[in-house]
Amino acid sequence: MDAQLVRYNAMTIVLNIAKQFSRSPAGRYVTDGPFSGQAFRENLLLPALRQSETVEVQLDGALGFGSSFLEEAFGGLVREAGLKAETLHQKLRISSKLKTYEQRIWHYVDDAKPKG
Amino acid sequence: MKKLSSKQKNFCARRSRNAMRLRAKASAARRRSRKVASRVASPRHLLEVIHVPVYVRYYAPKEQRKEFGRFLERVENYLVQGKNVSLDFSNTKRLFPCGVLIIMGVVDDWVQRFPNRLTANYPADDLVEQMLQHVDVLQKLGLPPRKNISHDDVTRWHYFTGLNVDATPVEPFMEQVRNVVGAEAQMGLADCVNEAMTNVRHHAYEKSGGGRWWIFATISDKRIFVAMHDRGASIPATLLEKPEIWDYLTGRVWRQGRADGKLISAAADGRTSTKLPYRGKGLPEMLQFTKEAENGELAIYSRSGFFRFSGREQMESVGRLTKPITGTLIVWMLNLSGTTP
Repeated sequence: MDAQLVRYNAMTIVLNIAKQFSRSPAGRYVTDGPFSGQAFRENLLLPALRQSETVEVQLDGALGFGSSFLEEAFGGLVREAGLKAETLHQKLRISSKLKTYEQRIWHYVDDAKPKG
Repeated sequence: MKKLSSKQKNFCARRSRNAMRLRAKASAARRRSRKVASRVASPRHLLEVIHVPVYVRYYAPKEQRKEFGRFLERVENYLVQGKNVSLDFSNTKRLFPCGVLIIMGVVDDWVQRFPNRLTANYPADDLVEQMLQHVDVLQKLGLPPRKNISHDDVTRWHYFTGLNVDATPVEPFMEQVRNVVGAEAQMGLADCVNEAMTNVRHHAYEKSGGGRWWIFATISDKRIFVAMHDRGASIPATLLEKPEIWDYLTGRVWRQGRADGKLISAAADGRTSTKLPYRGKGLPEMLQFTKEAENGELAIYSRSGFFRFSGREQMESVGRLTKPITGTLIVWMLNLSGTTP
Protein backbone atom coordinates (compact mmCIF):
# COMPACT_ATOMS: atom_id res chain seq x y z
CA MET A 1 0.00 0.00 0.00
CA ASP A 2 1.38 3.42 -0.91
CA ALA A 3 1.68 5.90 1.88
CA GLN A 4 -0.43 8.96 1.23
CA LEU A 5 0.44 11.31 4.01
CA VAL A 6 -1.66 14.39 4.65
CA ARG A 7 0.34 17.28 6.02
CA TYR A 8 -1.72 19.31 8.50
CA ASN A 9 0.95 22.00 8.76
CA ALA A 10 4.71 22.21 8.32
CA MET A 11 5.29 20.16 11.46
CA THR A 12 2.36 17.77 11.67
CA ILE A 13 1.17 14.88 9.50
CA VAL A 14 -2.38 13.67 10.00
CA LEU A 15 -3.21 10.01 9.46
CA ASN A 16 -6.87 9.10 9.34
CA ILE A 17 -7.07 5.32 9.58
CA ALA A 18 -10.58 5.05 8.11
CA LYS A 19 -9.84 7.32 5.14
CA GLN A 20 -6.23 6.46 4.39
CA PHE A 21 -6.07 2.78 5.39
CA SER A 22 -9.34 0.94 6.02
CA ARG A 23 -12.67 1.33 7.81
CA SER A 24 -12.17 -2.21 9.12
CA PRO A 25 -8.52 -2.60 10.06
CA ALA A 26 -7.86 -6.00 11.64
CA GLY A 27 -5.14 -8.53 12.29
CA ARG A 28 -1.58 -8.33 13.50
CA TYR A 29 0.80 -9.33 10.71
CA VAL A 30 0.73 -8.70 6.95
CA THR A 31 0.24 -12.44 6.51
CA ASP A 32 -3.04 -12.16 8.45
CA GLY A 33 -4.86 -10.00 5.97
CA PRO A 34 -4.80 -6.82 3.89
CA PHE A 35 -5.36 -4.27 6.67
CA SER A 36 -3.12 -5.48 9.49
CA GLY A 37 -1.34 -3.56 12.23
CA GLN A 38 2.04 -4.34 10.73
CA ALA A 39 0.94 -2.99 7.32
CA PHE A 40 -0.36 0.22 8.90
CA ARG A 41 2.82 0.70 10.94
CA GLU A 42 5.24 -0.01 8.10
CA ASN A 43 3.41 1.71 5.26
CA LEU A 44 1.90 4.76 6.94
CA LEU A 45 2.87 5.33 10.55
CA LEU A 46 6.65 4.87 10.42
CA PRO A 47 7.15 6.93 7.22
CA ALA A 48 5.03 9.69 8.78
CA LEU A 49 7.05 9.62 12.02
CA ARG A 50 10.29 9.80 10.04
CA GLN A 51 9.10 12.72 7.91
CA SER A 52 7.49 14.90 10.49
CA GLU A 53 8.00 16.41 13.92
CA THR A 54 4.57 15.26 15.07
CA VAL A 55 2.00 12.79 13.76
CA GLU A 56 -1.67 12.82 14.63
CA VAL A 57 -3.48 9.49 14.19
CA GLN A 58 -7.25 9.88 13.90
CA LEU A 59 -9.25 6.81 14.88
CA ASP A 60 -12.78 8.13 14.34
CA GLY A 61 -14.59 6.77 11.32
CA ALA A 62 -13.22 3.25 11.63
CA LEU A 63 -15.67 0.49 12.52
CA GLY A 64 -13.36 -1.25 15.00
CA PHE A 65 -9.78 -2.43 15.39
CA GLY A 66 -9.09 -5.38 17.65
CA SER A 67 -6.28 -5.47 20.17
CA SER A 68 -3.89 -7.31 17.83
CA PHE A 69 -4.11 -4.49 15.27
CA LEU A 70 -3.56 -1.74 17.84
CA GLU A 71 -0.79 -3.57 19.70
CA GLU A 72 1.14 -4.39 16.54
CA ALA A 73 0.67 -0.94 14.99
CA PHE A 74 1.64 1.09 18.07
CA GLY A 75 3.40 -1.34 20.44
CA GLY A 76 5.32 -2.53 17.37
CA LEU A 77 6.88 0.95 17.04
CA VAL A 78 8.86 0.18 20.19
CA ARG A 79 9.25 -3.59 19.81
CA GLU A 80 9.97 -3.89 16.09
CA ALA A 81 11.02 -0.42 14.93
CA GLY A 82 13.15 0.34 18.00
CA LEU A 83 11.59 3.73 18.80
CA LYS A 84 11.58 4.85 22.41
CA ALA A 85 8.28 5.22 24.26
CA GLU A 86 9.33 8.70 25.48
CA THR A 87 9.99 9.82 21.90
CA LEU A 88 6.56 8.57 20.86
CA HIS A 89 4.89 10.44 23.71
CA GLN A 90 6.46 13.60 22.25
CA LYS A 91 5.86 12.92 18.55
CA LEU A 92 2.59 11.00 18.41
CA ARG A 93 -0.91 12.27 19.07
CA ILE A 94 -3.94 9.98 19.16
CA SER A 95 -7.26 11.55 18.32
CA SER A 96 -10.45 9.67 19.16
CA LYS A 97 -13.85 10.46 20.59
CA LEU A 98 -13.54 7.24 22.56
CA LYS A 99 -10.87 7.79 25.17
CA THR A 100 -10.52 4.06 25.85
CA TYR A 101 -8.70 3.57 22.54
CA GLU A 102 -6.23 6.34 23.36
CA GLN A 103 -5.56 4.80 26.78
CA ARG A 104 -5.13 1.34 25.30
CA ILE A 105 -2.69 2.57 22.64
CA TRP A 106 -0.46 4.32 25.20
CA HIS A 107 -0.65 1.23 27.40
CA TYR A 108 0.59 -0.91 24.48
CA VAL A 109 3.39 1.59 23.74
CA ASP A 110 4.53 1.80 27.37
CA ASP A 111 4.36 -1.99 27.85
CA ALA A 112 6.30 -2.89 24.70
CA LYS A 113 9.92 -4.01 25.06
CA PRO A 114 12.44 -3.54 22.25
CA LYS A 115 13.43 -6.81 20.57
CA GLY A 116 16.82 -8.28 21.37
CA MET B 1 16.03 -95.58 -8.01
CA LYS B 2 14.18 -96.63 -11.10
CA LYS B 3 15.36 -94.96 -14.27
CA LEU B 4 12.52 -93.35 -16.32
CA SER B 5 12.29 -93.73 -20.02
CA SER B 6 12.17 -90.57 -22.14
CA LYS B 7 8.47 -91.29 -22.88
CA GLN B 8 7.70 -91.43 -19.17
CA LYS B 9 9.74 -88.22 -18.56
CA ASN B 10 7.76 -86.38 -21.25
CA PHE B 11 4.50 -87.64 -19.75
CA CYS B 12 5.44 -86.37 -16.26
CA ALA B 13 6.53 -82.95 -17.57
CA ARG B 14 3.29 -82.61 -19.55
CA ARG B 15 1.21 -83.56 -16.50
CA SER B 16 3.01 -81.07 -14.24
CA ARG B 17 2.61 -78.28 -16.88
CA ASN B 18 -1.12 -79.04 -17.14
CA ALA B 19 -1.49 -79.03 -13.36
CA MET B 20 0.29 -75.68 -13.14
CA ARG B 21 -1.93 -74.25 -15.88
CA LEU B 22 -5.07 -75.48 -14.05
CA ARG B 23 -3.88 -74.02 -10.75
CA ALA B 24 -3.14 -70.64 -12.42
CA LYS B 25 -6.59 -70.68 -14.09
CA ALA B 26 -8.32 -71.48 -10.81
CA SER B 27 -6.48 -68.75 -8.91
CA ALA B 28 -7.26 -66.19 -11.68
CA ALA B 29 -10.93 -67.20 -11.47
CA ARG B 30 -10.83 -66.80 -7.69
CA ARG B 31 -9.23 -63.36 -8.06
CA ARG B 32 -11.87 -62.36 -10.61
CA SER B 33 -14.76 -63.49 -8.42
CA ARG B 34 -13.28 -61.72 -5.38
CA LYS B 35 -13.01 -58.51 -7.41
CA VAL B 36 -16.65 -58.73 -8.55
CA ALA B 37 -17.82 -59.50 -5.04
CA SER B 38 -15.93 -56.56 -3.64
CA ARG B 39 -17.40 -54.29 -6.33
CA VAL B 40 -20.92 -55.35 -5.37
CA ALA B 41 -20.33 -54.85 -1.65
CA SER B 42 -18.13 -51.79 -2.08
CA PRO B 43 -19.35 -49.04 0.26
CA ARG B 44 -18.73 -46.57 -2.53
CA HIS B 45 -21.79 -47.91 -4.30
CA LEU B 46 -24.13 -47.53 -1.35
CA LEU B 47 -26.17 -44.44 -0.51
CA GLU B 48 -26.92 -43.73 3.12
CA VAL B 49 -29.93 -41.52 3.74
CA ILE B 50 -29.57 -39.70 7.03
CA HIS B 51 -32.35 -37.70 8.61
CA VAL B 52 -31.33 -34.24 9.79
CA PRO B 53 -32.72 -33.70 13.33
CA VAL B 54 -36.11 -32.05 13.79
CA TYR B 55 -34.45 -29.20 15.67
CA VAL B 56 -31.04 -28.17 14.34
CA ARG B 57 -29.67 -26.69 17.50
CA TYR B 58 -26.32 -26.47 19.29
CA TYR B 59 -26.53 -23.73 21.93
CA ALA B 60 -29.19 -25.80 23.59
CA PRO B 61 -30.05 -28.29 26.31
CA LYS B 62 -27.66 -31.25 26.48
CA GLU B 63 -30.02 -33.76 24.84
CA GLN B 64 -30.66 -31.65 21.70
CA ARG B 65 -26.97 -30.83 21.37
CA LYS B 66 -26.18 -34.52 21.75
CA GLU B 67 -28.69 -35.49 19.04
CA PHE B 68 -27.21 -32.91 16.66
CA GLY B 69 -23.69 -34.13 17.49
CA ARG B 70 -24.75 -37.75 16.81
CA PHE B 71 -26.13 -36.72 13.41
CA LEU B 72 -22.87 -34.95 12.46
CA GLU B 73 -20.85 -37.94 13.64
CA ARG B 74 -22.92 -40.41 11.58
CA VAL B 75 -22.54 -38.40 8.38
CA GLU B 76 -18.81 -37.95 8.96
CA ASN B 77 -18.32 -41.68 9.63
CA TYR B 78 -20.22 -42.77 6.50
CA LEU B 79 -18.28 -40.31 4.33
CA VAL B 80 -14.97 -41.46 5.81
CA GLN B 81 -15.98 -45.09 5.11
CA GLY B 82 -16.40 -44.15 1.45
CA LYS B 83 -20.20 -44.14 1.31
CA ASN B 84 -22.36 -41.57 -0.43
CA VAL B 85 -24.67 -39.68 1.90
CA SER B 86 -28.00 -37.99 1.29
CA LEU B 87 -29.15 -35.52 3.94
CA ASP B 88 -32.89 -35.80 4.45
CA PHE B 89 -34.26 -32.45 5.64
CA SER B 90 -37.90 -33.51 5.42
CA ASN B 91 -38.32 -33.87 9.21
CA THR B 92 -36.50 -30.64 10.06
CA LYS B 93 -38.95 -28.17 11.53
CA ARG B 94 -36.76 -25.51 13.05
CA LEU B 95 -33.26 -24.14 12.63
CA PHE B 96 -31.52 -22.36 15.48
CA PRO B 97 -28.65 -19.92 14.83
CA CYS B 98 -25.74 -21.99 16.16
CA GLY B 99 -27.11 -25.07 14.42
CA VAL B 100 -27.26 -23.18 11.11
CA LEU B 101 -23.72 -21.89 11.63
CA ILE B 102 -22.37 -25.38 12.28
CA ILE B 103 -24.28 -26.77 9.29
CA MET B 104 -22.72 -24.02 7.13
CA GLY B 105 -19.23 -24.94 8.30
CA VAL B 106 -19.59 -28.69 8.19
CA VAL B 107 -21.23 -28.74 4.74
CA ASP B 108 -18.40 -26.58 3.32
CA ASP B 109 -15.94 -28.98 4.93
CA TRP B 110 -17.65 -32.17 3.70
CA VAL B 111 -18.16 -30.86 0.15
CA GLN B 112 -14.48 -29.98 -0.04
CA ARG B 113 -13.18 -33.22 1.49
CA PHE B 114 -15.65 -35.59 -0.21
CA PRO B 115 -16.56 -34.06 -3.58
CA ASN B 116 -19.73 -35.38 -5.27
CA ARG B 117 -20.51 -37.68 -2.35
CA LEU B 118 -23.05 -35.56 -0.48
CA THR B 119 -26.57 -34.81 -1.67
CA ALA B 120 -29.82 -33.70 -0.03
CA ASN B 121 -33.52 -33.27 -0.58
CA TYR B 122 -35.46 -30.04 -0.23
CA PRO B 123 -36.83 -29.40 3.29
CA ALA B 124 -40.58 -29.79 3.75
CA ASP B 125 -40.78 -26.67 5.92
CA ASP B 126 -40.87 -23.39 3.98
CA LEU B 127 -38.91 -21.37 6.56
CA VAL B 128 -36.22 -24.06 6.86
CA GLU B 129 -35.81 -24.10 3.08
CA GLN B 130 -35.62 -20.28 2.90
CA MET B 131 -32.93 -20.20 5.58
CA LEU B 132 -30.82 -23.01 4.10
CA GLN B 133 -31.08 -21.30 0.71
CA HIS B 134 -30.23 -17.90 2.27
CA VAL B 135 -26.96 -19.28 3.70
CA ASP B 136 -26.10 -21.18 0.47
CA VAL B 137 -26.25 -24.62 2.11
CA LEU B 138 -28.77 -26.10 -0.35
CA GLN B 139 -26.80 -24.76 -3.33
CA LYS B 140 -23.61 -26.37 -1.99
CA LEU B 141 -25.50 -29.67 -1.71
CA GLY B 142 -26.43 -29.44 -5.39
CA LEU B 143 -30.00 -28.19 -4.99
CA PRO B 144 -30.84 -25.14 -7.15
CA PRO B 145 -32.56 -22.28 -5.26
CA ARG B 146 -36.34 -22.22 -5.77
CA LYS B 147 -37.66 -19.96 -3.01
CA ASN B 148 -38.15 -16.23 -2.87
CA ILE B 149 -36.44 -15.30 0.39
CA SER B 150 -38.89 -12.98 2.05
CA HIS B 151 -39.52 -14.05 5.63
CA ASP B 152 -38.27 -11.58 8.23
CA ASP B 153 -36.92 -14.44 10.38
CA VAL B 154 -34.60 -15.25 7.47
CA THR B 155 -33.71 -11.88 5.95
CA ARG B 156 -32.68 -10.35 9.28
CA TRP B 157 -29.81 -12.83 9.56
CA HIS B 158 -26.42 -11.93 8.09
CA TYR B 159 -23.88 -14.56 7.28
CA PHE B 160 -20.24 -14.11 6.35
CA THR B 161 -17.40 -16.42 5.61
CA GLY B 162 -13.75 -15.74 4.90
CA LEU B 163 -10.24 -17.08 4.92
CA ASN B 164 -8.07 -14.34 6.35
CA VAL B 165 -8.33 -11.61 8.94
CA ASP B 166 -10.39 -9.30 6.78
CA ALA B 167 -13.38 -7.65 8.42
CA THR B 168 -14.47 -5.84 5.23
CA PRO B 169 -17.29 -8.36 4.48
CA VAL B 170 -18.76 -7.73 7.96
CA GLU B 171 -18.99 -3.94 7.38
CA PRO B 172 -22.71 -3.85 6.35
CA PHE B 173 -23.70 -5.59 9.60
CA MET B 174 -21.45 -3.32 11.69
CA GLU B 175 -22.96 -0.24 9.99
CA GLN B 176 -26.43 -1.51 10.93
CA VAL B 177 -25.32 -2.13 14.53
CA ARG B 178 -23.75 1.36 14.72
CA ASN B 179 -27.02 2.97 13.58
CA VAL B 180 -28.92 1.19 16.34
CA VAL B 181 -26.58 1.17 19.35
CA GLY B 182 -24.04 3.91 18.59
CA ALA B 183 -20.34 3.94 17.77
CA GLU B 184 -18.95 2.99 21.18
CA ALA B 185 -20.88 -0.26 21.65
CA GLN B 186 -20.53 -1.15 17.95
CA MET B 187 -16.76 -0.67 18.04
CA GLY B 188 -16.51 -2.85 21.14
CA LEU B 189 -18.34 -5.59 19.27
CA ALA B 190 -16.21 -5.13 16.13
CA ASP B 191 -13.05 -5.32 18.26
CA CYS B 192 -14.24 -8.70 19.56
CA VAL B 193 -15.12 -10.05 16.10
CA ASN B 194 -11.84 -8.80 14.56
CA GLU B 195 -9.87 -10.34 17.37
CA ALA B 196 -11.71 -13.65 17.07
CA MET B 197 -10.78 -13.69 13.35
CA THR B 198 -7.15 -13.01 14.27
CA ASN B 199 -7.22 -15.87 16.79
CA VAL B 200 -8.56 -18.21 14.12
CA ARG B 201 -5.69 -17.26 11.79
CA HIS B 202 -2.97 -17.44 14.46
CA HIS B 203 -4.07 -20.48 16.41
CA ALA B 204 -6.80 -22.58 14.79
CA TYR B 205 -5.14 -22.79 11.37
CA GLU B 206 -1.57 -21.91 12.33
CA LYS B 207 -0.09 -25.09 10.87
CA SER B 208 -2.13 -25.07 7.66
CA GLY B 209 -1.33 -21.40 7.04
CA GLY B 210 -4.95 -20.29 6.99
CA GLY B 211 -8.47 -21.59 6.99
CA ARG B 212 -12.09 -20.66 6.79
CA TRP B 213 -14.32 -19.02 9.41
CA TRP B 214 -18.08 -18.54 9.38
CA ILE B 215 -20.12 -15.82 11.11
CA PHE B 216 -23.88 -15.70 11.62
CA ALA B 217 -25.27 -12.52 13.14
CA THR B 218 -28.37 -10.44 13.68
CA ILE B 219 -29.58 -7.39 15.56
CA SER B 220 -33.14 -7.07 16.76
CA ASP B 221 -34.11 -3.96 18.74
CA LYS B 222 -30.88 -3.58 20.66
CA ARG B 223 -30.28 -7.24 21.16
CA ILE B 224 -27.33 -8.57 19.22
CA PHE B 225 -26.48 -12.15 18.45
CA VAL B 226 -23.14 -13.01 16.86
CA ALA B 227 -21.76 -16.52 16.48
CA MET B 228 -18.46 -17.45 14.91
CA HIS B 229 -17.21 -20.90 14.00
CA ASP B 230 -13.96 -22.34 12.71
CA ARG B 231 -12.99 -25.92 12.02
CA GLY B 232 -9.31 -25.71 12.89
CA ALA B 233 -7.30 -26.85 15.90
CA SER B 234 -9.30 -26.19 19.06
CA ILE B 235 -8.37 -23.85 21.93
CA PRO B 236 -7.45 -26.76 24.29
CA ALA B 237 -5.34 -28.46 21.61
CA THR B 238 -3.36 -25.31 20.80
CA LEU B 239 -2.76 -24.55 24.50
CA LEU B 240 -1.57 -28.09 25.16
CA GLU B 241 0.96 -27.87 22.33
CA LYS B 242 3.06 -25.88 24.78
CA PRO B 243 1.96 -27.30 28.13
CA GLU B 244 2.64 -25.63 31.44
CA ILE B 245 3.85 -27.45 34.53
CA TRP B 246 0.31 -27.32 35.92
CA ASP B 247 -0.97 -29.23 32.86
CA TYR B 248 1.41 -32.10 33.73
CA LEU B 249 0.57 -32.02 37.44
CA THR B 250 -3.18 -32.14 36.80
CA GLY B 251 -2.84 -34.74 34.06
CA ARG B 252 -4.43 -32.51 31.41
CA VAL B 253 -1.68 -33.43 28.97
CA TRP B 254 -2.48 -37.17 29.10
CA ARG B 255 -6.22 -37.13 29.75
CA GLN B 256 -6.98 -34.93 26.79
CA GLY B 257 -10.58 -33.79 26.64
CA ARG B 258 -11.36 -34.00 30.36
CA ALA B 259 -10.11 -30.56 31.27
CA ASP B 260 -10.98 -28.77 28.03
CA GLY B 261 -13.50 -26.47 29.73
CA LYS B 262 -10.85 -25.36 32.21
CA LEU B 263 -8.36 -24.77 29.40
CA ILE B 264 -10.87 -22.56 27.54
CA SER B 265 -11.46 -20.68 30.79
CA ALA B 266 -7.67 -20.20 31.13
CA ALA B 267 -7.57 -18.79 27.57
CA ALA B 268 -10.38 -16.37 28.49
CA ASP B 269 -8.18 -15.36 31.40
CA GLY B 270 -5.26 -14.51 29.10
CA ARG B 271 -3.34 -17.76 28.73
CA THR B 272 -1.83 -18.05 25.25
CA SER B 273 0.13 -20.74 23.45
CA THR B 274 2.64 -18.12 22.22
CA LYS B 275 3.78 -17.31 25.81
CA LEU B 276 4.42 -13.74 24.65
CA PRO B 277 3.25 -11.03 27.05
CA TYR B 278 1.76 -8.88 24.28
CA ARG B 279 -0.37 -11.73 22.88
CA GLY B 280 -3.49 -13.50 24.16
CA LYS B 281 -5.53 -10.36 24.78
CA GLY B 282 -8.44 -11.28 22.48
CA LEU B 283 -10.52 -13.65 24.61
CA PRO B 284 -10.11 -11.65 27.86
CA GLU B 285 -11.32 -8.54 26.01
CA MET B 286 -14.31 -10.43 24.60
CA LEU B 287 -15.21 -11.56 28.11
CA GLN B 288 -14.77 -8.06 29.50
CA PHE B 289 -16.95 -6.55 26.78
CA THR B 290 -19.66 -9.15 27.46
CA LYS B 291 -19.53 -8.42 31.19
CA GLU B 292 -19.99 -4.71 30.53
CA ALA B 293 -23.16 -5.29 28.48
CA GLU B 294 -26.44 -5.71 30.29
CA ASN B 295 -27.26 -9.42 30.66
CA GLY B 296 -24.59 -10.31 28.13
CA GLU B 297 -23.77 -13.92 27.41
CA LEU B 298 -20.60 -15.43 26.02
CA ALA B 299 -20.23 -19.11 25.28
CA ILE B 300 -17.14 -20.79 23.84
CA TYR B 301 -17.32 -24.41 22.71
CA SER B 302 -14.04 -25.98 21.68
CA ARG B 303 -13.09 -29.66 21.26
CA SER B 304 -14.61 -31.45 24.27
CA GLY B 305 -15.21 -28.50 26.56
CA PHE B 306 -17.16 -25.33 26.98
CA PHE B 307 -16.89 -22.08 28.88
CA ARG B 308 -19.88 -19.87 29.53
CA PHE B 309 -20.46 -16.49 31.10
CA SER B 310 -23.99 -15.45 31.90
CA GLY B 311 -24.57 -11.81 32.77
CA ARG B 312 -28.02 -12.57 34.13
CA GLU B 313 -26.62 -15.05 36.65
CA GLN B 314 -23.29 -13.18 36.95
CA MET B 315 -21.60 -16.55 36.71
CA GLU B 316 -18.85 -18.24 34.75
CA SER B 317 -19.09 -22.00 34.22
CA VAL B 318 -17.10 -24.70 32.47
CA GLY B 319 -18.10 -28.17 31.39
CA ARG B 320 -17.51 -31.15 29.18
CA LEU B 321 -19.28 -31.95 25.91
CA THR B 322 -20.53 -35.49 25.36
CA LYS B 323 -19.87 -35.14 21.61
CA PRO B 324 -16.76 -33.09 20.83
CA ILE B 325 -17.03 -30.22 18.38
CA THR B 326 -14.59 -29.81 15.49
CA GLY B 327 -12.78 -26.51 15.99
CA THR B 328 -14.38 -23.73 18.01
CA LEU B 329 -17.78 -22.03 18.28
CA ILE B 330 -18.04 -18.63 19.97
CA VAL B 331 -21.45 -17.15 20.75
CA TRP B 332 -22.17 -13.62 21.98
CA MET B 333 -25.60 -12.46 23.04
CA LEU B 334 -25.64 -8.84 24.04
CA ASN B 335 -28.41 -6.59 25.18
CA LEU B 336 -27.27 -3.04 24.45
CA SER B 337 -30.49 -1.31 25.40
CA GLY B 338 -28.61 1.15 27.61
CA THR B 339 -26.76 2.58 24.62
CA THR B 340 -27.70 5.49 22.37
CA PRO B 341 -26.95 5.84 18.67
